[in-house]
Amino acid sequence: MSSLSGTSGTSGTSGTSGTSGTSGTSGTSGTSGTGVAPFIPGGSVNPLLAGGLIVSGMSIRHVADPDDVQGATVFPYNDMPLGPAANLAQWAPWVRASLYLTDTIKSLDWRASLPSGGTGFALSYRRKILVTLKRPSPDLFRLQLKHLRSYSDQRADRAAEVLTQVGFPTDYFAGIIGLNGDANPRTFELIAITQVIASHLVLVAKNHLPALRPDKRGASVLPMIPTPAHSSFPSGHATEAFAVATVLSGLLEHLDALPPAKRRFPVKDKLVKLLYKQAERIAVNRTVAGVHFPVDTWAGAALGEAVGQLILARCRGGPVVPRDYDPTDSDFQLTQFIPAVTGGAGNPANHGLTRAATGVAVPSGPLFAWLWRKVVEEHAL
Amino acid sequence: MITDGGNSAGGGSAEPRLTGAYEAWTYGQGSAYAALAVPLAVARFVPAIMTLPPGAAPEDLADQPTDGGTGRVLLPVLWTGLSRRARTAVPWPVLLDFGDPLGRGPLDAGIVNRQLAILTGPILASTNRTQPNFALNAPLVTGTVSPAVRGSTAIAPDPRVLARVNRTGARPRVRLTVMAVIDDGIPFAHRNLLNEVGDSTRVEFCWLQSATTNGNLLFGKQFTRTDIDALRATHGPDEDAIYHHAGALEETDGAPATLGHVASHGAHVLDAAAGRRNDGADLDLLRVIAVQLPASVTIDTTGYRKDGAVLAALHYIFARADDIALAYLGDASAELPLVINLSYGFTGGPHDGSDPLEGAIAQMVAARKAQNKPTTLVMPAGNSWADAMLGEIAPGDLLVGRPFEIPWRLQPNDATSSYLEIWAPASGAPSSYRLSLTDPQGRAVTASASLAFTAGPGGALVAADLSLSGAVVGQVDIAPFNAAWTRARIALASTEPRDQTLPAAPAGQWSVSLTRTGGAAPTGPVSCRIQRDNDPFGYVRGGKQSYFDELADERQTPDGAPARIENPPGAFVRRFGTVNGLATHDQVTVVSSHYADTGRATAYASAGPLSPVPGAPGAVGVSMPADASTALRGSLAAGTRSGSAIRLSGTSMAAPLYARRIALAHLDSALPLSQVQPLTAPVSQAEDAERPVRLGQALAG
Repeated sequence: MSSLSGTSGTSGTSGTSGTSGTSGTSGTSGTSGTGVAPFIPGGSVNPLLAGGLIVSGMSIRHVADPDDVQGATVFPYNDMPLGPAANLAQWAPWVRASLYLTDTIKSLDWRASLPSGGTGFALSYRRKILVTLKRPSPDLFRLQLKHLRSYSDQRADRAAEVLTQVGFPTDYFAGIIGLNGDANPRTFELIAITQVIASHLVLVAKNHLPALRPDKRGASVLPMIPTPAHSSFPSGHATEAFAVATVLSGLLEHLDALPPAKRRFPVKDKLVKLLYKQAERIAVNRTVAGVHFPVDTWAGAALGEAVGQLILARCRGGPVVPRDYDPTDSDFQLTQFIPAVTGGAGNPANHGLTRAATGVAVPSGPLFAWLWRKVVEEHAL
Repeated sequence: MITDGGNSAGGGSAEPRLTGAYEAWTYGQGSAYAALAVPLAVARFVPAIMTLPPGAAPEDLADQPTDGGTGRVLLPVLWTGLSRRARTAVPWPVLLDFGDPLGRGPLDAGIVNRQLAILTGPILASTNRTQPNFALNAPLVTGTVSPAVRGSTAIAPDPRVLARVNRTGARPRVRLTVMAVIDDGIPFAHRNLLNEVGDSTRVEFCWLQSATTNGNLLFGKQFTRTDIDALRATHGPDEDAIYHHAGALEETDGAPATLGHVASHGAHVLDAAAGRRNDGADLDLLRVIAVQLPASVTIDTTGYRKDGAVLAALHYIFARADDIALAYLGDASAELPLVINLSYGFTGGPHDGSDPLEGAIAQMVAARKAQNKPTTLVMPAGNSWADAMLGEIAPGDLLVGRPFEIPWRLQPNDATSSYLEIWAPASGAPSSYRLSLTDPQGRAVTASASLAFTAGPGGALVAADLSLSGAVVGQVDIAPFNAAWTRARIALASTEPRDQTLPAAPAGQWSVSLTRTGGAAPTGPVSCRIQRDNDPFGYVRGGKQSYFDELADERQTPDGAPARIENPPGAFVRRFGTVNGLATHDQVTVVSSHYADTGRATAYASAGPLSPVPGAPGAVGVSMPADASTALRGSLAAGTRSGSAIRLSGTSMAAPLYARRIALAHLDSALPLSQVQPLTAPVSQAEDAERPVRLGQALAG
């Protein structure tokens, strides 16, 4: 992928679930754990440059008035305009990332008790429940070890994917819809913040639903990468990947709804299938690697889809479909999780996932609305 | 897809069944998983072999539209040396034409069998003969077929070679020899195949079976020496242009041409067998015939098999070899040596030479030898030694009422069907069995009919769909195979169908339970064979190999090396007996492979039975050094374009090295013979004892 510097979250992935603490993936020093790295693009300032600037400043300042307060010509001028989104273009991408993140989190709440009683994880937006997850029983996790064994046959096939998807697998989505770092910086920003928000929320979910990783439950799992130091359930990669697939599919649908002369993606339906299929592939690669169970993916995908819908709604207004996941011993397959995408005959309810018939209406917010406008402009003809 | 339920597996139906177990799946429910280049809804032309009862000739059926049917039998080039009125049943390669799809509906096993019954009705009516039978491949693209064409035979001999041949005496030291290669991705314009002065190719004939027809053969496209020389003259050294204009780079059967890659299986094999080398031979006398099978035949390593295409290739080669004899030696019955390298096979089959395609091939080779024409068929042993695709159940493990659990593991993301064959001895008194299946979740699989069967006299067809939660995910077809065997063929759907609307078979550990319910104990072990299901070189199809996952299978030595010897007696998984299922007859030389540095068997080379009758069918004959060492795998031979060299590994690379030896021995009796390759590494006693059976005679490169 070409130049992504300055797009928060794409270069450097510290803080992403599944990646923190893995050597080689933390981004800029001093920011690990924030999830919106790199906070300081470029890192520290070059001392030689600082020295040069000092000396040149001392050498040339004599031609300007030595005092900016006394004796300066007074002329009328304005400060920056007020408003939540009035100056976003002036801010660094990492600053915007911080704003998107806090703007999203402030409307969310979570608790460990489920509305139906019992413990779990319930995520709500302004008191309306969006996602409820129950933790699988230890015996259910044990039964799932057979899937770990099954997928381990494919480690040789998928090693390149597993190793390049330890951090955010942005490139695996970018290629599907033809994104380029120079032409589509705001689309990368949208993808990055989607992953960052998904990552933060899944870490909260993981903290509520602690579960041992496969290598602690089965002796023959022997993962091909180091196991991250956070809960197995739900899968962070599944959350992030399905959030991205949902947001990018929403973008394609928006662009496809433009007048024909302005459309840019003639094969939108196929691209949507590919986005979701890629999300499945990325999530299942973690099972191949030996660090996640299929139930982790089910929970993560359910959470991620809701996060994606929430971000889309904050961008342009729209519904977020509440869902409940009560784990069963199932392998994860896209056709079962979201049959409508590929036209499959699966039924998520058979695997413990139920989605509400109607969604919670969420209005757009000024920050995301600004980002959305910029993203859509990038794809204008 | 199935249009009426009765045909889906042939079960419980009075419909005629002239096709076999595989067609029941591949032309039934299984077709949906096959990603066919020609969907059955529009399929018209299907290569097949047709086994006729004694005394019947293929011409009796050919080209005759029959009353009430839309089908007809088209004949490719057939060798005249095979008796048309033999006293035994003879299999022939044919192209079945099922007529205009619009007037017919999607081709399925029911339509196929009804049409074949109408077609062969006159033969049955005229005498009281046994029913003919058919084995069908995947359909051909309509544009590759010229229904009215039989293929011309006029060729112009290379005048300089002709002059040389005519100068040799009555008992020449050197003589004209033909090397024939049946493979995939044939670089017929390659420089290594030119004559010594470089102005004409030694390739006399090349047949691309799935190229767009130019009307010179029934299907595909033929290039003669003159055609190839003309292409070279027109396009100069630009082989991209040659192959492009020849139509050899077209996507065929939905697969990009492997000739477009830097390396192809056929380029390597053809060069190893007949390419120019500094080995002292006058290669101008080595004339080449090459046949490229349809991509669909190469891609599908199991279900649709290769019968019709392979047998048609062999007839073509034999007929063209006679044409070469006529053109160069003035007599089609001249004793022209012919070496055929056939790099195909399968892991299933009876493994006693009684597979119908094996029988057909053996019949032809024997018939040509009977004409005093030296003929050698060379085939690779296969590469499945370490793949746990063969298991054997000893008679003692089949006590009445005691189920034997066959541990069959299907990989996730397998886009293609998986097949397991269970071969029960049937030559003794009848034995009764019952099959049942359990999926990886531990759920019992529902069969649409009882899976009880009898091996031996009185055995009848058992056919059933397998379903989970109401969705059909597989099929069982159990039938007497011949007097010696009853075969149970289990097909399971893809674990991740390319068409995601189709039901998938769950990935993981399946258990196939075989219980003897009564009757006599089997006279020998019950063999369980998994068909190959991974992507052949140059193709991406999404196959993932299923295997037997058994604890007792010692896949590694205690120090971590891959298994080099047979499993201990208690294990179900076997490594000896894995040899290519198309090479267990008595008219083939089977070639294994060893490491050139030590003479040890390679980690992959399949092997014949561990306790064979010496020289009996199914044994490995020789071994060639196909790999430099364990660290440097493979051997070098040409890539698709002149000047490139590619390292490939496998017994397919060993076979042409031996085919070349045989051809050169015919060509020039003064060339030195091969040295035996000694074993120069310390090996265990067990490995040393098994080596002669594993490798046959190991020859040095």
